[in-house]
Amino acid sequence: MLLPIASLCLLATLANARGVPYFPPLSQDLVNYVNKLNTTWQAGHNFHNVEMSYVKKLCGTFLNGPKLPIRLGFADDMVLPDSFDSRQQWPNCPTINEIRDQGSCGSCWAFGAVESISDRVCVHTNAKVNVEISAEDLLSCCGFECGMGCNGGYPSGAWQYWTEKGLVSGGLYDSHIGCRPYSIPPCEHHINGSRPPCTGEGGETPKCVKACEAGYSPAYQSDKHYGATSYGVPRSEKEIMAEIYKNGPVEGAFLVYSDFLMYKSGVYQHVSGEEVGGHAIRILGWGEENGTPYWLVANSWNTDWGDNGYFKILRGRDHCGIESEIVAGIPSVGHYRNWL
Amino acid sequence: MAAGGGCWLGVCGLVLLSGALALGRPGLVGAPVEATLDAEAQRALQFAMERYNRGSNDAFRSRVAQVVSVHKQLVAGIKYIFNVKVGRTSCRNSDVVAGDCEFLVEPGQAKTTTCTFEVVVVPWQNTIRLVKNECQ
Repeated sequence: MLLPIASLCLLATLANARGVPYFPPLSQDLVNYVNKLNTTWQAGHNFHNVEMSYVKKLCGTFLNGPKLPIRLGFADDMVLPDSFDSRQQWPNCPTINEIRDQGSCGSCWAFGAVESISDRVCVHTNAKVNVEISAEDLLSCCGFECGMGCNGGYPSGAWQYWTEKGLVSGGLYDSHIGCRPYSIPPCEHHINGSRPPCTGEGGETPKCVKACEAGYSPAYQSDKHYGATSYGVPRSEKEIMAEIYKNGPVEGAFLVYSDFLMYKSGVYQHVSGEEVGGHAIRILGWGEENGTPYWLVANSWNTDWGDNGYFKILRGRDHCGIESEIVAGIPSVGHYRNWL
Repeated sequence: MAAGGGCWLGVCGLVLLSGALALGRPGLVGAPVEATLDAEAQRALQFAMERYNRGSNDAFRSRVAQVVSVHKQLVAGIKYIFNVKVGRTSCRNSDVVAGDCEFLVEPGQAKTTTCTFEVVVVPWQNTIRLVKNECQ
């Protein structure tokens, strides 16, 4: 790509060279725009947006991952409530309340999977087994079946890997919880922030180390948790609701537009901005807010994003593809014989 | 960052081969995608260059001579990935510079370096950081 270098450098000179804090007041315009639209959600401050003429060619986004069998429909016989929140349905499953942070790595696909798998292990063992399944193990060891690690991956591959090779335990960065905690730090540059500054932290795919962190027992292989089955959920609002209602949170994926990054509260629907890319998340419930049906979703951008790390998104219209890539699975409960 | 660059090329090649284009199919999520150098990307690149010069021992300031590629990736924020050619200018690195400095052209003084910069912008934190700065 050749560039008008002169204009680039002119802009460069005009822009703030110090960088932190960084965004021009222009951001306020878009926040105001969204908030004055009187749409179903509200934007937060500090987001800056300009006319982003992103190239629509989403290189790599449409490579098909492993095809999971589609689960047969079972919603027809089911009476589903108007609203449902897995956190309230399974209060003894603490991972359902957990928001993680993927850091500067494109590992959303792994997070959506291990978060839902952790929840499901608890749900399917009647809260006898509580474990944080390791994003690190999935991200680093799944290989090509899951895609390209920090450069993107397939939710379907993640669930399949769980049934074939299993996943060890592992908590948040620096938590020293479980066999393989996440190794990529969350970041913030606020001076008195609680999180570490991340100089030189590039979000490279971590190495597949088939050993637990020092001081953790049991051994790596005996710490594996397995899925009995993995499947795609039919592209239907009712089937997705039935799946969550019966088996726990699911992993979904949707297309992110730039306005999503400044979401604060309400029911998100795309109103402005260009495509940024595909993103995977964990869906844990549904409801209706001021007449707008929504999915209740956990993101993996830490708790300072959105509504304490959660968001709501329009339900029933396959908005941004949110209903079209739902994957899930059932834990191998026999594996927990000794726990139950 | 040769490996990362190779990866994108690999992905692009495969995409061309597969020719699949419908949204809603199972696909890679969280992958870098090709992007234009819009105003936001320009600011990220300018930030990278400012950090590059700040960390450089060269007496002369460098600036972008050519942008080879721009990608962006959804992480916990947006990561911009730049592949650029950086040229040495006649300005002193310590100078406060108001405009473009001329590139040095004399043999022995002119120097162009190929760099990969990765800049992560987290809009809801108002932060920007250079997470990769690799030049050869």
